[in-house]
Amino acid sequence: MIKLVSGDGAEFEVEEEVAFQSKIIKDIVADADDVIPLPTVSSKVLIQVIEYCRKHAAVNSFPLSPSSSAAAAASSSSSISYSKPVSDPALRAWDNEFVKLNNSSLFDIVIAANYLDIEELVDLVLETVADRIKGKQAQEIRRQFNIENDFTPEEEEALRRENSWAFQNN
Amino acid sequence: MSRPIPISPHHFDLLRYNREAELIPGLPDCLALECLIRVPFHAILDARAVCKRWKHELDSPFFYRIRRAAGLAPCVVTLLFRGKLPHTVGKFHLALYEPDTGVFTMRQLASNRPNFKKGIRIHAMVVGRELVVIGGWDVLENRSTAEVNIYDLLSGAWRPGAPNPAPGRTCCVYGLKGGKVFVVGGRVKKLVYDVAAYKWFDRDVKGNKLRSALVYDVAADTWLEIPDLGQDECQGTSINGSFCSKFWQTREEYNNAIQYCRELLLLDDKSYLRMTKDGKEIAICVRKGKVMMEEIRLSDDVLGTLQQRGQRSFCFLAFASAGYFSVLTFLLLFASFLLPFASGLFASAGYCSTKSIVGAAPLAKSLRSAAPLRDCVLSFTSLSPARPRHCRKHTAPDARLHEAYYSAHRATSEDGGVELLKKKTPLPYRCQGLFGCSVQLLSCSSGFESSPLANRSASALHGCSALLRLASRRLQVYRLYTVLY
Repeated sequence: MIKLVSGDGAEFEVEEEVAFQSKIIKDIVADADDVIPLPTVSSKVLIQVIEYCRKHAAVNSFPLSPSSSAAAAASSSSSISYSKPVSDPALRAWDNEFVKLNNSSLFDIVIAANYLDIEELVDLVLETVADRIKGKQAQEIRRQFNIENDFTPEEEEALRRENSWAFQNN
Repeated sequence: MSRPIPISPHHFDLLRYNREAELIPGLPDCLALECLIRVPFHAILDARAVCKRWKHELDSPFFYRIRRAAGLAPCVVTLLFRGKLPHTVGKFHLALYEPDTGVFTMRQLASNRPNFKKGIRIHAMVVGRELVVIGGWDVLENRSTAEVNIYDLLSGAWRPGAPNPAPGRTCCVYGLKGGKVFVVGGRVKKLVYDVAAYKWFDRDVKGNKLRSALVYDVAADTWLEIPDLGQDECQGTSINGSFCSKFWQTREEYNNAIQYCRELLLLDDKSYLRMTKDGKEIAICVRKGKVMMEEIRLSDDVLGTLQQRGQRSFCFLAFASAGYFSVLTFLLLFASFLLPFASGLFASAGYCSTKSIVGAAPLAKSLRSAAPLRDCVLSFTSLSPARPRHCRKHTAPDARLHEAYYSAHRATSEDGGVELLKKKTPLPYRCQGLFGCSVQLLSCSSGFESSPLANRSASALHGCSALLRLASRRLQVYRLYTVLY
């Protein structure tokens, strides 16, 4: 077990394979009973990150355990690849549920994930944010992300003209 | 207790970033940027209008460099067309289709641009992230204009280019390698008044075939003339931005290649065949003095190859009508969309190694039997000065093209093309009549997601059949391009 200490002093005990979802923890851990302080991560965020890591560690370790991979090979002759966890529909569905959070929580998670170097989680959250940008008009994007509009009305009009879509009046 | 994770200088920057200047409030800039590069192409235009900071970021070449480097730059198919509905007539529109996401968006090009104002006969191609529009028919002065205008697909801004030194030539325009545009071959035309049609027409002047080519360097904004290409009536087609940058060096070289292909495709000597040097495109014309249909069939192995290539493969089937004497030309183009052939000429010839060439109907049948074929782009192309009246005369070939068109659609759409058949949608093939312009139809099996446009307007650009209807009824489709960002 590895003990993670959040910025506000809470301690979390996690299994090695869960903590090793973070590349940076994997790199610095010297022995199994390490205590790792994470001063920039709050306990609220750390709980969510650990939840994600636990889920993904469980799925990722699946093909690695010899008994289960042998069972998989025995049950089906066709070679099914479990190497890409994100291609697993159940896990993807879980991921989709996981990111149903408001923007600031997502940002906190991605900052923590970036700090801990959990690539999959960074990708997942950034993609979610990108999805929230796409398909929206500038005004909606501004409202969603709390961005101030610093264009003058003339500039905005020029942009709107450039940005005019076909068949608008249809 | 081990030491805390060392904070890298990079991360240190994150901790003391300036909250005022954040791209997305609450998110460090490097992560926000990573987020923005994940925004699909069609959403960038809207995102630019959010704030100055975003606009600055989304306009910078750096942004697109890292986007490409991260492998997040999907292929974008660009379609330029002219509206045919009363309120859109004559207006040029740009449709952008991203095969990876299946999103189809449209934008209207400012119709006050001189090229578009002057109407038809524009030549346009995509170079890099820009659409280069050359020429256009000046209705008032009854001649081609020399104007060149360049449209930035991402920022939506126009800029003028250096004028074309030889605007009169009726030619084929192709883009280009390394940000250049080729204006190839063509003929000098003279104006002839057609009494029956009450119209002025250009007419070929015998012996005035041009052997030269012009090259327009978009970045340097200069025109360059290549004096002699060594053959008359050079033609070529550009797909995926690659064009044979070199033509056949000698007659013999060209003839040998043609002979090889003729044997491979079992064509008789009367048929006429030409190809580009890199062999990505092969054109087959049949000249027998009258309207003849050369029959085309896709062999099973070709279709198999296409299916294997799945989403990334695009099948270009183009029917071209060429020549003043109403000779129908069939141009069979196969292009690997994203995976360029490395092995040159005959890799492509092998790719479409048909045993025999038989008819539009069998072609359709083959397409139908290949129902899982996804993202098939079926295009009907005119590379030459064919006029609408000529096209209308060929009812029989038209009918067969219809059959191919409907069948292809049946094969690739979910509703089986029923709606299309019911309405007897006219072929976009008829809409042509433009020199050097292609009339192309884009069909896609994988259905289009609703776009922001579809939500905003009643015209639902939803689903493949809608697009097809659109392409054939409302639009005069000019050309199809692909851009990689």
